[in-house]
Amino acid sequence: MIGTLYRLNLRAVFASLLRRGRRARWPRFVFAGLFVTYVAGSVALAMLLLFSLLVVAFDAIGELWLYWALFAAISFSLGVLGSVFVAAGHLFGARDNEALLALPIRPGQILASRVLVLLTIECALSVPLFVPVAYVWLSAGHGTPVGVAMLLAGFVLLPVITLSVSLLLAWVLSAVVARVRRHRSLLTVVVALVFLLGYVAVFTAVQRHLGDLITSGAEVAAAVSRSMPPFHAFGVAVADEDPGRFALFVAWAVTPFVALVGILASRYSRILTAGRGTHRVAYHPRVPRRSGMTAALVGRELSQYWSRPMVVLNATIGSLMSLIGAGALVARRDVVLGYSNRLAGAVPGLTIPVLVTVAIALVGATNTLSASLVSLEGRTLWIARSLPVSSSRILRAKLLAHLAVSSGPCLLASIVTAWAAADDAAGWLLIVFVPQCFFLLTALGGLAVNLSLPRLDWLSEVQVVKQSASALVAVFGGIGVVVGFGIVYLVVGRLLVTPEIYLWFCGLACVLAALAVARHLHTRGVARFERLGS
Amino acid sequence: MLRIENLTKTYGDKRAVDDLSLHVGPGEIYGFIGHNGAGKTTTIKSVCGILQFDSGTITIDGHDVRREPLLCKARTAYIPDNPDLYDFMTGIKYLNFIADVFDIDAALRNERIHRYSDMLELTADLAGAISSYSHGMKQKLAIISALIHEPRLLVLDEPFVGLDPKASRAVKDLMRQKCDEGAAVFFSTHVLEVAERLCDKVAIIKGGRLVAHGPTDEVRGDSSLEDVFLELESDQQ
Repeated sequence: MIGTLYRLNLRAVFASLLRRGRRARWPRFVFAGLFVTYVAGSVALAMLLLFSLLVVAFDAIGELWLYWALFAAISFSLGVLGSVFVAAGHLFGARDNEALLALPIRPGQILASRVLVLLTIECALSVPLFVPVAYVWLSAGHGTPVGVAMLLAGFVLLPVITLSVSLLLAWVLSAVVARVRRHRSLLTVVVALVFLLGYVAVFTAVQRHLGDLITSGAEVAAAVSRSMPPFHAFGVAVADEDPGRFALFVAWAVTPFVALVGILASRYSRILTAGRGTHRVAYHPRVPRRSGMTAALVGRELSQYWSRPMVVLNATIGSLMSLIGAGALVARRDVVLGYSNRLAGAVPGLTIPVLVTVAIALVGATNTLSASLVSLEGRTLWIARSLPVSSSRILRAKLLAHLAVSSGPCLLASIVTAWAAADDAAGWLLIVFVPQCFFLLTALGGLAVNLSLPRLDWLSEVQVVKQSASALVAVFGGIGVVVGFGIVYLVVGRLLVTPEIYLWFCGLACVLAALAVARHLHTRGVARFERLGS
Repeated sequence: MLRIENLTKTYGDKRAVDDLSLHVGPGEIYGFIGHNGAGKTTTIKSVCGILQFDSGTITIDGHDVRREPLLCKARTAYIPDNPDLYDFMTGIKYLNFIADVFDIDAALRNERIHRYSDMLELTADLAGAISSYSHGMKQKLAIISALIHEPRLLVLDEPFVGLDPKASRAVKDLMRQKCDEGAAVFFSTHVLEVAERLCDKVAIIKGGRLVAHGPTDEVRGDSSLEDVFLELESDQQ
């Protein structure tokens, strides 16, 4: 039974990637595979470079165990911060939980199948971290059959430790959010942002303290052995091929996990069926406010957006980061500008306005709301389709909603940045207007992509905004456009024009491309929307 | 009011509705009966412009569903068999959204919302989130939202599922009242006793084709609708 549920859940997670469109020549996973390869390759390259330095440094000071202990710590930190909300969505927020509870299946089996899916995802995500680190280790001549066997076991057991902590935090988070009556979305977004900033802090701290790790290896080793016993045990086990330490590591990994899953299993049914903090709200009749049709349709999209924290966090992370960045710029103008100046000074011809324009565009490219709005209609699509509203008007409302929550905050960030960083009107205009041209293209492009790759049968909105093919294509497509412009500039553009003028050309190109996509949406896009579900 | 001529709709190789024709006149309650998978919901969704069909014509109040979809939808109300509503809204917000789309005046919508929600005993729950509603409450909300714009044609897919007896009775009274005002009601049901008592006309569909249709008394003859339905089912096998 657990196996069947596991396969069912895993298929649900990857459904949109594995399905082939009716007229598609290639299955979607071919395109998704290319994007995944790109992301995994980038992460793997960074790990390869980092650990190539570390293996030499730790070998020199005789603390080779620190190599694997450090890998375990990095993998754990990134894994926990990245998986808490996914775990909360899968375990406690899945729409099929009640349907499964109604079947003659033990709640523990439902939980076990979901936990196994999370473990599979966790293992898959740790591949680009683990493979280059293991490669560096083996290349340095440290591999023996026993050590390799321990490494392979560690590949599965390290995600078990990560998942234990993620499960616990997801449980606590769900319980807290369920008890909050108002502003649940806001609370969840704030908590998630704290996690996100932690994520960024861990990653930058690793980079910043790289030198310290190499020069002060002995002190770091002492600190790790004191404060992170499971990772210390893993490092010593692999480096010294010590079975005793390995057994200790296994105990550290398995015992809390089994205990936590056991406790959750015994309460899973109660957790899922408990009241979610809903209370009867007294209705006070009053004459309602009347809105126009467009305002009503946009309002509907925004209501949906604000009510789903996972959508806010995943589909408009660029807006959140832009606002945080703008806040940082207001609070610490000198520090941020000093850092930007150093970056700009490293590349000949690069000016602050050019740098911040590209940075704002890159951050905004991670806003993929429009690539999810068609899919988010889900089982309520019949409402939009049965109302006397044209499909083009519905799509326009989706576009406006995207622009309101994506381009709006980015525009604010642009204005703040222009105030802080631009010396003249030309720089000001560049920073404010060029990113908006790009955002118009990504908004329209996201909508077009979602109409081509819709997913209406989702069980959790995470599947739409985080794991769907359209969200992946939108985010990497947007980044790809920025990178593409950069490559064209380096190859040809720099020989012809200044970076500022080139960026204006990019903005114009974005507007022209946006007009083409808008035309496509008005004809084929509308037809696709009307065919949905037919 | 509703005229379906030679409607055909296929899903891949399966012909869900096959050359189906029927007419629903003003003031008529028309029952649409058939076993599971017979093609009732496909027909209903085609009428409401939710599904695109392969061939045939559907006109509502003289307007072609394909050529003038918005005009047709403005005259129609649709209630699905499983009312998945916007669970991110409260009941009253949902009703206001629907009223905004139909451009209903504020005072008029206020009067209609409260008239129908009082009738279906949902007024006290209008401020609650739809996500906290039971199936029956969602069904009631869907019915109220369908009546806000005073449609000329009501299309209902299994409207009594999930309703308590009192609400069920209220919906039946509403259907009759709307027909008395000149509207038409076209609804599918598995409850043959309800169809027999409520409908002026009935149509029985099997395998996507109409096997009997006409005034309820004529279709039923001297026996019950249930007997006729079961007989037609066995005849076709």
